[in-house]
Amino acid sequence: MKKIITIFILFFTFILFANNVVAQDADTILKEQYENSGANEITKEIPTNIKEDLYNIADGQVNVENAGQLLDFKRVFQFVIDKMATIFKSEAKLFVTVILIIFIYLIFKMLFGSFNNKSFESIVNITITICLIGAIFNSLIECTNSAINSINDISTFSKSLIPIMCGLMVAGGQPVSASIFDALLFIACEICTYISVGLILPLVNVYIGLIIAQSININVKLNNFTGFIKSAVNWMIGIVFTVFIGLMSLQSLISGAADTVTKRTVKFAIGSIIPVAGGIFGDAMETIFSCANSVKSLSGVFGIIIIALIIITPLLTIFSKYIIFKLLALFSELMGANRFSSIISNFAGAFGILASLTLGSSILLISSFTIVLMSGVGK
Amino acid sequence: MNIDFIGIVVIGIIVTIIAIFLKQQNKEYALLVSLAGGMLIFWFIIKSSSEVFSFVENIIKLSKIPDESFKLLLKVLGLAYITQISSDLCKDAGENAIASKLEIAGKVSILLISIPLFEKVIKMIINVMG
Amino acid sequence: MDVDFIFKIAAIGILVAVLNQVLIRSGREEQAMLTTLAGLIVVLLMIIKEVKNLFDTIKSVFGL
Repeated sequence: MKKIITIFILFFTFILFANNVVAQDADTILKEQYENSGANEITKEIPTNIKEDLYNIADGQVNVENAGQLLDFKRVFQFVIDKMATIFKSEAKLFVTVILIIFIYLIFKMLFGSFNNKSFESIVNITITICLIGAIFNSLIECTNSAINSINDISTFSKSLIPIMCGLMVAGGQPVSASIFDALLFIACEICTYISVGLILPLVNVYIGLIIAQSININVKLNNFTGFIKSAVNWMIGIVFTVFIGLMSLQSLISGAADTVTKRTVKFAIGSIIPVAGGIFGDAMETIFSCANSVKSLSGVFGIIIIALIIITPLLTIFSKYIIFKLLALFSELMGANRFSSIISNFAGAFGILASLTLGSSILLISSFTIVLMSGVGK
Repeated sequence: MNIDFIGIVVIGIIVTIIAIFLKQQNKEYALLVSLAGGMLIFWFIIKSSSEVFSFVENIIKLSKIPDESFKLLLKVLGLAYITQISSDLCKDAGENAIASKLEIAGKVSILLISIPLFEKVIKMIINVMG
Repeated sequence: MDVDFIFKIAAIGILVAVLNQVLIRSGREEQAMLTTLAGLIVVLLMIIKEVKNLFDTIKSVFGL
């Protein structure tokens, strides 16, 4: 009798305190990984002005899970076209102002041309040049500030995206790649921050100083110097980015191979140690890895889209100002105000430097994230 | 009296002829007549150019540029005209030395007027260079 | 100021010149010199008035 009661009590205890073991399906795993990796938290890291743009593109709440709907080509195209229209409208005032300044210069040149003295001309030149520089100056400073802010924004956003991606890579069975990419992505963000803080502002200041000096005394031929600055910036960007992206690609190949070996070894070990259910464990591991991979891909895509959104407005602004100033330089050359065409096209060159630095840093980050995303494909 | 360009040309020719005629009699009168004729022509120029200046002012107001630069330019233009008139008169009378002194005085006053402009330029450069 | 101003000055100039010649021929050279001087002063006064007018206009137009 005692034996039966003991067995009964043991049985009850077992039933009461045993945990349920249930085979989870893929959707639950996905949801768990979204929460655990913090991918859902990433919407909090987005700068506020970009959130409005996001709501405009995809109607409704956007987070990592429905990142796919943001890739609708028609919507994106529409968004870009709308942005460009707004930007061009706001640039129209600057355009008109500069054209009026050129007209006034021509009128005064004609009025002063009736004198025998050349010295009156220089007063007219200096006055009109100062008005022109004053009118264009503000827009250059604004653009520089917005470029610096947006590069800082994408750098901050990427830094908050890195732990999520690397955590997902570890969960997806790529520990070696995760640790290496963690360091490399961080270096990429640091490069961007250095560009925005330490490079853009001094360069633009030096450029502006040269333009002003050249415009006051037209005989000072600083075209070679400004051309040198431009080509130096381009070369530097090209070299840094080529080296960095090349390094990342090679690293992804090497660590990808190491990860594949590690994963297969672990799977084989588990399969052969655990007698019966070893193969099932191996397949469950595969499911978890692929879910983590899909979360990683979606977060990566989402991150890249956010980076592109952050950078696109300042970039389009800089680009449109560049076009407008080149047009104005052409116009003033047509009207015969030659000294202004060189000043204005030098200003356009400054915008060109800004554009190349901004575009370069955003492409650096986007390419780095793409390489990280591609490393998990095709196992 | 509203005189158009042809009228001004005619007046100029008539004054020149009268001045040449009077030169043989009385050199001073010739000078005075040419001075009077020059002033008359300039008077008519000013009257009709006020339209040009109001047009330029409208453009300036339209483009919302700070207009002290253009007021400065107009002042310089006025000073230049006065200098030109007076030095030409002296040259006509044969007093080249006085004419060049007047020109120097005119240039100096133009420079004096445009000093604030140069200060603005220097301030801007210093601001940019930090 | 209008075109008559020029003709006034020209007329005074011619008148003074004629008077000058007449007085010189009749032997009164001091009076000839005095008339020339007087005519000069009169014309000068007229012109200076108009010059002041003109320069005031210039000042107001150009904002000096």
